[in-house]
Amino acid sequence: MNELDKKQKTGKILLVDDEEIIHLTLKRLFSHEDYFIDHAYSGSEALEKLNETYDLVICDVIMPGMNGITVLKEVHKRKYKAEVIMLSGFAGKEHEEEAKANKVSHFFYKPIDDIISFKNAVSSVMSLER
Amino acid sequence: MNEEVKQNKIQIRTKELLNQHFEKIYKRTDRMFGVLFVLQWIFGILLSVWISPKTWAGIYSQTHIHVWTALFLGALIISLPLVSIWRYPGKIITRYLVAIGQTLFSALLIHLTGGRIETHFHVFGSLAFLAFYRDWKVLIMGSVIVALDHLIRGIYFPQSVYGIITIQPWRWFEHAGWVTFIDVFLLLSIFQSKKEMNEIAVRQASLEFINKQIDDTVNNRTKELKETQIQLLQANKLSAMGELAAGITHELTQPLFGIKGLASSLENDIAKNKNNSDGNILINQEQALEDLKIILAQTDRMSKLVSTVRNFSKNDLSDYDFSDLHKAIEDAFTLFNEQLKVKKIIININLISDLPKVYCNPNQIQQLFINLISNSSDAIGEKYELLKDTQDYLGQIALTSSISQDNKFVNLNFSDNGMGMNKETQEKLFEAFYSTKKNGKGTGLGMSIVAKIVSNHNGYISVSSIEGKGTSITIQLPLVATKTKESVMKG
Repeated sequence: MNELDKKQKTGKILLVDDEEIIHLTLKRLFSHEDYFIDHAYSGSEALEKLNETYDLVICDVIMPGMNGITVLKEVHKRKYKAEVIMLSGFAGKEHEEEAKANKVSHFFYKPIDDIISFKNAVSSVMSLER
Repeated sequence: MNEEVKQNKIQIRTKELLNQHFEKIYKRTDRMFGVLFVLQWIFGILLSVWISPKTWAGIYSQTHIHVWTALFLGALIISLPLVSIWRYPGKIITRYLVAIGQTLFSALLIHLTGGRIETHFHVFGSLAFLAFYRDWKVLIMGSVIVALDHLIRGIYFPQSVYGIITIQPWRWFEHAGWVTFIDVFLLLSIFQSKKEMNEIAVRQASLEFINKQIDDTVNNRTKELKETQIQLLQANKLSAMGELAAGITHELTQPLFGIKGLASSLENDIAKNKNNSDGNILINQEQALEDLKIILAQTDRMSKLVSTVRNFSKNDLSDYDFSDLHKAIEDAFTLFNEQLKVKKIIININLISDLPKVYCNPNQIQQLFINLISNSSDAIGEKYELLKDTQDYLGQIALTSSISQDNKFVNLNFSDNGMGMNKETQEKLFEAFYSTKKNGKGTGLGMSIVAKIVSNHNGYISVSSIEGKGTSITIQLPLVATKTKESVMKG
């Protein structure tokens, strides 16, 4: 059993994705954690909801209208403490490079091959002392 | 095909044509002689009645023997050839019987006139008529009969043939000589005519052969053209598939991630439960059921998309049947679902609910709409790029279906509020390889294939567009089954 799984973690996460199933799945993946999870279904909705209280933003890259990279940039621009983990459904590496250039915490491709490492990434971000 | 085979084929056909021609001539001449025999018979009787109706013995008279001869012997001579003409027209036996009958009838007429020289000329007429058969053997047969008749009657009944009682032994030879004289000309004409007939037959056979070769070539080219068209449709389809692949993959990754995430959470829970030997943590059945429900719903979503893709990639572009037109169109939109969503394009579909099945190839219809949606999606994308975020512009694609007033067509109106087209583009819209898309994105085939598909379905298409405002395309497809061009070609 993973060390991180043992202790309860708390924190606030904003999920940004236009697909309901992604929200459902991410919520379920952290159902045993004590996270407070908030949902946004578009980039602009995310920007409205974002404030300094969030610890993590899990964000889709390609969404109708504003894309995830804009959200990522905005988080850092506003100097929020939140880390950003990005999920991409497209194969192109250019999004990953752009995200990395904009200080993304982790970048995963959907469907995530290694769910454990994704969960670990989330856990490690959430247990950061800020 | 090599020259020898070609010549051989032409030769066989020439023979066939010649035989047909000869048969026609034989039958026609047979009929002609049929009429002639009857006329000659009546003429013979009238002649004998006119020349010597009575034979007198003092004051007693009785009908002259010639009248009876004309009646009965005449009937006897013509009866056999007439029967043969009736029963075996065109056959060789009929020709010989006619030759014998005709020359014997000449002999009868000579006898009836007591050997008058005028009736000897009837022989020439008979031979000329026999020459109509264009068969030298028939002519010779007739001539031999004439010669024999003169010879035999010259010996035993010279009065009947020459009108005198004393025998001149070589008299028949002179007559035979005249017959031979005219035969020479008739035979020459027969051979000349046969030669010409042969030439005509050779020419016709060669023409037929060339025509057949042209027909074959045309058929082959038509078949090739049809295959090329199918290949073109196929190529356009593949290019569409390539364009759609990214969107479709993206759309598949969503449910796949859902399934994976939920299944792994569920697995985790069950594993935890197992490891806990005191059994305090029981698996939350409600949660498990919920997970499984979502998983199943997601697999359904994937199945639907996969089967739509599979149907579209199927290679059945040439089969037409009564099909669900709306489903074919909706499937096209399904394939574009993700791409349009990402491009922030609103879809507005308004279809009538009671559309009967339409005689079409659903695969082609789907391809038609994929081309239309692809163009509209690009036109809207361009407009978004042009306007950036400065406007409240929202890209839209709309589709409505309706039935024409005369109930003969289904009207499909497809429109977008994208960049629209200028006059030049509108004029060249259906030309193959005309494209305004940048960076070699378009093949320039899309709209020409749209037009081709519409025409394959005996439909009509019209386009109206305002530059900067959008484009509206109306397609009319016949509701009543009409034979499609391709099925005509197949048939």
